[in-house]
Amino acid sequence: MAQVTGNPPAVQPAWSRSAPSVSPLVGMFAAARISARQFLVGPRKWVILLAGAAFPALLSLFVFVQKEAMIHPFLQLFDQLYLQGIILFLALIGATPAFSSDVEDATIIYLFARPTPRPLIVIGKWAGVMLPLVILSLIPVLVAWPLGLRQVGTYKARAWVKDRSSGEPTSEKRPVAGEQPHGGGTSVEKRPVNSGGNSAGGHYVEVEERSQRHETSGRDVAFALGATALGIVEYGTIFFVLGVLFARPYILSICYAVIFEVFIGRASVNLWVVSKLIRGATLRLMDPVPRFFEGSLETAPSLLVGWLGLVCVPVVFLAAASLVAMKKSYVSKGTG
Amino acid sequence: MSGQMLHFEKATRWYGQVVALRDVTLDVAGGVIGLLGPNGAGKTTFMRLLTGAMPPSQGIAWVYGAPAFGNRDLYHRLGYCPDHDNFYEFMTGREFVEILLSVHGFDRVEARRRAAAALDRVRAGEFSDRKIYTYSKGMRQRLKLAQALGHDPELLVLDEPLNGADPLIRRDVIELVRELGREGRSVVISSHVLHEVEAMTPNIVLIHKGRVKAAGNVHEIRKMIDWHPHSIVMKTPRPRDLAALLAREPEVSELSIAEGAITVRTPKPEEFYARIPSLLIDAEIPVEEIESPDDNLDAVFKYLSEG
Repeated sequence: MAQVTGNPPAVQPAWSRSAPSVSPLVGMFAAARISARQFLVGPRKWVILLAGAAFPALLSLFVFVQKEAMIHPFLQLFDQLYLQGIILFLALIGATPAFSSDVEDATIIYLFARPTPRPLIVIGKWAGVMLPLVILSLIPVLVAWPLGLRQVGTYKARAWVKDRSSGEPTSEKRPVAGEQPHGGGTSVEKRPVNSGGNSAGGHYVEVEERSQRHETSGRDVAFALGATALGIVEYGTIFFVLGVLFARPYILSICYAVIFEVFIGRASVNLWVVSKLIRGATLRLMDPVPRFFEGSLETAPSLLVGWLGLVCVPVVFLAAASLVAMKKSYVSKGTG
Repeated sequence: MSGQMLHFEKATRWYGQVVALRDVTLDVAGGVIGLLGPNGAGKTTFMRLLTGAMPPSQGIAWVYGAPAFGNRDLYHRLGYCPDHDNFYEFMTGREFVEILLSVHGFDRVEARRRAAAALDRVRAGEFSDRKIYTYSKGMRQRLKLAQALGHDPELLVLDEPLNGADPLIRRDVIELVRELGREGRSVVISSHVLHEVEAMTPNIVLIHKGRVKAAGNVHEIRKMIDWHPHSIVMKTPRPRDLAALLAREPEVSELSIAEGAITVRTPKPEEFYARIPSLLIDAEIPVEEIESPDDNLDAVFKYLSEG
């Protein structure tokens, strides 16, 4: 066995006299600060803002150009475009490199050569990217809100019977049952009164159609903001953890996002677990819920199931990532 | 055993099919130790086992009486200066050292105080408020040393800190390592240039093709090295002027000029290295980088392996 003995200590060194006081939580917050700064100084924030801008841009198109295309463009576009599509890619772009870039350029060595437990560093890195990512992903929703103020609301119609000669109403104005999409404005249509298949001589029914300018309500926006924040955290955690578990997570993340979520996932348990839970949990917290989603509540999971599901995804994924990080060596083959 | 700084027993590490370190059995009590070997010898792998960055595939790698891997208490006592030059480039040098001390667990005030002290110690204070992406190679080396020193560790592991460094940083690092040794700290420093290690410590571990070939005093190795002229590559924007200057030096046996660099061969590298800083300063010839290709060391190891 080779034995090497260096020079003995010449003086009583400072480090042997007193152990410095350090806190693992301080270490975790420092890891979060690094992660947030990496996110904010890099190009990721611009890509995220640009991708997120698709929501208000398309909303503008539908509100100002194709007024009759949708009943409720704000919530419809939010649900089908932003929540189930764009958010997935914002999370992918924002969260995938949060840990994996440190592994790729080997700066992770600086963090892991510290007494702060690795799971706390992983959680710190996760929290540090999630906060700015959530804030940036809320901006398109907030920008879309005033655009939603211009949207055309639900169709309102009232009808009453009038005397043909005098033009005086002979009945109360009554709402017409049912609602239809409508382009806006007010119109009056005169129709002959039918009674058992015969026209009733001197009377006619006047139908007044009026679309009222329906502002996107506070609860519509509250739903959109809440669902966005939840969606980013859920999907972002999945992509972040892929970066902790695998050496090159980008291909895996893109495959997950494009192939599984967009094409296969629509009929999968995963969509139910994530997308539906986000929608259901957010809706169930609201009283009353946006009318657009009233039907969704019938199939949405209960609040307890929803929140349990939503909490479980990040907790389980982060716990798995922390365990792997404790055992994994994040260094490539040595050169020396 | 708990008194030992380092205890490796049949430590083996492989990457896929490649065995980087093979059956290394070694005890080091402490002090300044030079880890010497050519590129690809397994020095970095050795250091990664020593710092707990990875576990051995087989055998044991203990530091201060406990396994190095997964032992976070070790990092209270150990400072690591890796061989790569990657940083959080968007930070200033001061921010980089401060935030790593915060990751260590020090509060902001303490982290700031320690960062300032560490940067001053490695003479990085004057440029520490510049963004890292503007740093030269030498500045980066100083910054790596500062982050390793910030928490006042008992053991410093320095992976090729002189690689590609200019004459000034070489002199400073050598002096710093000596000083750390005098303070009673242990330092494990790797290099593929014997005379550099020799300037810091007489205690060396020779490693070649993943095996420890020899451990102990440098003098025997010195004799073997002297049989092989030492090559030194110096990168400069004025290679002809530098060649003209060095051609007059008695230590230089051979010179060749390439674009942006000259290669010097000398049988007396230590005299040459001692002379070079003052020569360059007097002649005002800028030198960006000095490298010592390990061909001479390789020849020695070949001799050792065959012998």
